[in-house]
Amino acid sequence: MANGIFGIGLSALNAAQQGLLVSGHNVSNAATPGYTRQQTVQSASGAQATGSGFIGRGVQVDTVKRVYNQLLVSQVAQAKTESAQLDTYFAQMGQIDTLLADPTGRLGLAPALQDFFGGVQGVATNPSDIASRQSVLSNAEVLVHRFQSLNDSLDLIQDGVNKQIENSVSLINTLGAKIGELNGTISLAEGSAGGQPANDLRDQRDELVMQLNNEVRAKVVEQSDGGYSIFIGTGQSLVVGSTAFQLVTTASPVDPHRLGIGYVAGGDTLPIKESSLDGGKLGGLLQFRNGEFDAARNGLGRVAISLAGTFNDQHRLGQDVEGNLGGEFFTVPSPSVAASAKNAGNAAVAADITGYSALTTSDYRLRYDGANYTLTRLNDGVAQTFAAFPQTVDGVRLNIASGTAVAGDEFLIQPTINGAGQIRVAIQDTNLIAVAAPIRTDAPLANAGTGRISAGSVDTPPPPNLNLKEPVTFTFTSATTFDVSGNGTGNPTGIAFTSGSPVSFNGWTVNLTGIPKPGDTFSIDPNDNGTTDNRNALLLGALQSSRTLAGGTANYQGAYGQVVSLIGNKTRELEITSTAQSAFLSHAQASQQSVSGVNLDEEAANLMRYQQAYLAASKVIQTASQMFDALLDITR
Amino acid sequence: MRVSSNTSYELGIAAINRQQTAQVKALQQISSGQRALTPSDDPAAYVRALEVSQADSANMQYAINRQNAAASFGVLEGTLGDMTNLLQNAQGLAIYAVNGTLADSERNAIATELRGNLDELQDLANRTDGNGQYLFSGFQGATKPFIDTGSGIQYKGDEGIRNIQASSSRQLAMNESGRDVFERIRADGGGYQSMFNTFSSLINLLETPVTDDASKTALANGLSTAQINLSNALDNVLRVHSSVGTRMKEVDTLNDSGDGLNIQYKQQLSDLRQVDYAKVISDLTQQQTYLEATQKSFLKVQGLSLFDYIR
Repeated sequence: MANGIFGIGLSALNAAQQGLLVSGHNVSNAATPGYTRQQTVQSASGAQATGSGFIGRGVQVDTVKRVYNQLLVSQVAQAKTESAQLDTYFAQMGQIDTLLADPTGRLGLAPALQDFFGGVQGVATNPSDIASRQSVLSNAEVLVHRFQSLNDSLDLIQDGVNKQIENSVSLINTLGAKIGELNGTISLAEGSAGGQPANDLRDQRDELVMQLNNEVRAKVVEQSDGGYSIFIGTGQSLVVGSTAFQLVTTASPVDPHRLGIGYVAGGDTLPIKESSLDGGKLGGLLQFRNGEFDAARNGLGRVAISLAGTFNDQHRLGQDVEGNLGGEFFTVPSPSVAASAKNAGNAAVAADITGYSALTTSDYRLRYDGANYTLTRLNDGVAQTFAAFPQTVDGVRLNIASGTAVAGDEFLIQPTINGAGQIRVAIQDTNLIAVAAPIRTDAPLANAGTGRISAGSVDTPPPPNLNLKEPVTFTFTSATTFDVSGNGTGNPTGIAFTSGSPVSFNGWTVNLTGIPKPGDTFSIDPNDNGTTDNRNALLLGALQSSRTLAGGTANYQGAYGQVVSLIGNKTRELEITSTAQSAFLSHAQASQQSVSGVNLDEEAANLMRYQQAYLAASKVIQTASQMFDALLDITR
Repeated sequence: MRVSSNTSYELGIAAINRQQTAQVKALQQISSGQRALTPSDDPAAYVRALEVSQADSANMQYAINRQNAAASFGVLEGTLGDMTNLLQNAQGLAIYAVNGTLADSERNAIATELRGNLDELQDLANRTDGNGQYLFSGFQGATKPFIDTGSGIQYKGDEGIRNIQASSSRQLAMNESGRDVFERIRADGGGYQSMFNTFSSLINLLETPVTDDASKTALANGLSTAQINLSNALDNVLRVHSSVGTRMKEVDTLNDSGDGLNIQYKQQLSDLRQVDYAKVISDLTQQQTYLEATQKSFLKVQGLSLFDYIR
């Protein structure tokens, strides 16, 4: 009997001690990341049947369990991976946002553009002034340098993204390997403990899964043996049992400046589709790189290319100080075409920009299927198919420069990517600025009528007509007809005259007005010595406000404004969504912690409870001992 | 709900972080004086400021253009004024020469004075601007426009007109072609005659001795023609002068509206860019209050622990 009481007291003592141990463990791990509070599960030991009923045999501790809710944990992981993606995306966008920031309006691209056109207006006012001419060139250099420094900063951001992708991939590999290892350790530990859960090891593994989700979205499937299988992307397994697979960074086959991500399986490296790797820092980096980063670089490139191209077009219609037709003022950046490193054919694709207004800020993918080419605009996925070259799409003329394509060959065409980096000022000599127009007109004093001839304009687009500067004379044969003579005109006769209607020959257009008399002549001549003519400079200056971009909807600064607006709005949107997602994450964490987190006050109460249980159990043993002493006293 | 001890720490610290971030932001705004430090702070206002700044800089450039034009007009006006005086003087001499009592020698003296006038007129026609460019040679600023070729003074320039952008929608002619000012002048009896020819014919006429009735009649007719031609020349100068005057007036008008726009753009830019100090400072004070309250309540919550009662 007393033996039974000893046994019961001892079991209670043990249970209370284990309770104290578990509470103490909880208190000491209150701040351990990923720790789940533990509890002892105790039950009454099987009672002994006697004639007078079942007599209990004390208490037993069945197990120590984690207070764990799988659903809440996976909610936190979900929220975490999205939050990390948005935070990373936001942080990267913030870099471009800061890059484009010019709060005072003195340092950015916009003031440089304004100063450049101010210089052009200045030279229009003082065409022969060397200082005014020099200021056009100097301001052009400043503008070009502004483009280049923006481009350099974008390069730095891209390098940073590549570095972070490498870090993220190597962290994913490390975490995968550790999780695999823990799968093995847990199975071993639990097997040797007779199936009791290895709580702290499981906590560690859950914490690693959480860290993995911070890098990339990872799906966890718990196997029947308790091991975690982990899948990423479109279902590539990262961890199966105690085996972990590896990710690698690879240079993209079409663009060596950007890292792609590959999956190593059986000695082969298979590329993973970037859009399938969402969530986590990696997802944020990829989303940034394939979205606004490209849009920013291409948007700036489009402004640079269109500025250089349209300015050159007008410049080539003018005449410089030496009386020559204007040349290239800017060097127009060229599109980038990359053949995939995996192409089997040897075709080289050439891309030239032919229409500035139609240019988009997108990149394009060209694929050959053996019969047809498919060109896909990457930012909206619009595709068109054709069988032969050349083709002009969105202002870009594509052609096969050499070689032949084989089915499956792929090319990446980036019309505007080089714009900001490659724009240059092509002339250094102030005399080469084409401020004047190449022709001028004359009505001799001898004319008897009141007919007048306009100053004339050179027809667009360049190149100008080869006979542009050939002298041409109109001779009126009656009040309503005139003959034309001069090289290149074909010397037509009897042309009907309507006052005010334009007359065009040799690439120029003039207006004849008034009432000419028979015998009156009008001439169009080369503008020799026309050093104070500013007609072309006025036309160059007018380009500043001409809507030459985006299908005729934006001027240069407007197109730059679109880039700023895109980046500004997206950054702001991400600031808001990432804050909201952080709030959601902390809510999910609070829910999970409200179940699994350690509350120190609660543990203090538990300590007191088990301490009292321990004291009570000691009393039971003391009672048993006293009973035993009483029995001994009887026999004395 | 159960609250884990970690949660209450993290929530408290997150709240303090958030309020400190807001404070730093306000501080940056105050110290820089700028409302939107990056485009994302207010994308719409930022892009709008870009547009306004372009309009503003163009407006300032037009003002500079107009200043240049006004300077050119000043030189033109002075020249035209000198020409007016000169032509009026010649008109007076032509009228005086009609006097039948004058001897050949007296007419020769008048001719000599007119010759001086002609030289002066040619100087005026070949006047240069501040940059050393000829006023009346059209597009060929470096080409001397009026040269005595032996067979009279010939125009070597052209009819080129240099416009300047005086406002976003208005171009103003800065120069006058020599042909329009000096040559395209209605002649007595039809056609055009340059004022130089008018002068040389008059000088020739006055230097021709009057010997008989025929030469007397020729003198009388010649003087009458000369008076008409001089009057036409003066009319032409006055016409050009008034056209230049009209453009000067237009520059003044455009200056006024340009100044108005300038104030308007600057105001818009300041509204779009500059910080509203009263608002930001009041925000800052508010955030300070929140931060203090959060810090105090955090301390209070964390200060309670059951462990304090286990002795």
